[in-house]
Amino acid sequence: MASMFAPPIVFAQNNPKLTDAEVASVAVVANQIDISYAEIAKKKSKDAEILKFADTMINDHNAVIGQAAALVKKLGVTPKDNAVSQQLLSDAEKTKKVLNSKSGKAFDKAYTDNEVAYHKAVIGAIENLLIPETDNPELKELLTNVVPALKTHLGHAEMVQKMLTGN
Amino acid sequence: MKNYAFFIAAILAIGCSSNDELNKEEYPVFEEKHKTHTPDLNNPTVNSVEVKNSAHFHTIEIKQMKFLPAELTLQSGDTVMWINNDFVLHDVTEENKKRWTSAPIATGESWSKIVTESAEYFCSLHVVMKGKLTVE
Repeated sequence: MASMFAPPIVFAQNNPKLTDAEVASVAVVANQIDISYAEIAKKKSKDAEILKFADTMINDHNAVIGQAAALVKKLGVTPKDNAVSQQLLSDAEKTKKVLNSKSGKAFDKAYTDNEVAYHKAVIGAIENLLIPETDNPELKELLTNVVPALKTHLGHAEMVQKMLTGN
Repeated sequence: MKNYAFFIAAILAIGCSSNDELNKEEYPVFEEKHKTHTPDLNNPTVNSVEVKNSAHFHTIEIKQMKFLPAELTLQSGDTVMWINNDFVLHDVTEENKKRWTSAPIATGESWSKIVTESAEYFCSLHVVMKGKLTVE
């Protein structure tokens, strides 16, 4: 069901070693992408549970970006664009096209399915790619602290997904 | 800094409580501690230990998407204070009939309630976050 969406693929590739500045960029971009999906949902969905979920995504992912921004400022690091960030953005553009092409219940299902797939992919990427590649302990700690929030989002998205299919 | 914010929040929560929220005479030790304590920024465990030790005042910390402790047994009339030490907004909402809710609690802020009946509650912003109060 998630196969029409691209996000999980990028993380599965053999990525080159990322610097901390690049990890910071990936973290910010990954959060911005989920905010952009939520903004589409706020425009297109009429489902109360999805609208609530989208609000939570906007609030929480903005909070993560705020934390990341404060940390890079403190560390004197400038997030550096890189192949992973670019791939994430280009995949997100494709996903947004898919989402924008749908409406009504088809949109609700597509958005929710994508949220499940995207959060799974991002959790995997943070745990298996970003945390191991991060040298700075504070950046590592920030990434580690974000994982419980992402897992909660995943659980929430899966609940909405079940609700939509009536199971 | 976080610890300091915690203490300010704790003090404000006491100071702002309405008459029926806290009987000050009943909690002299709690009040005393918070007025005289100087936050130790190097010791993050200080706060929760002191707050939790009052007999009829319980603190539930919200951290890393969990209510800590998630299950609490207490006596009717006890006060529970939820403190949001997470980096995102949370709330505390009775789950089954939505009989009460805190409304969103910002980072570093708290919300208190006198508990008179058992309840299952959740964070309505993160619906998989759940907690339980059992009145003995």
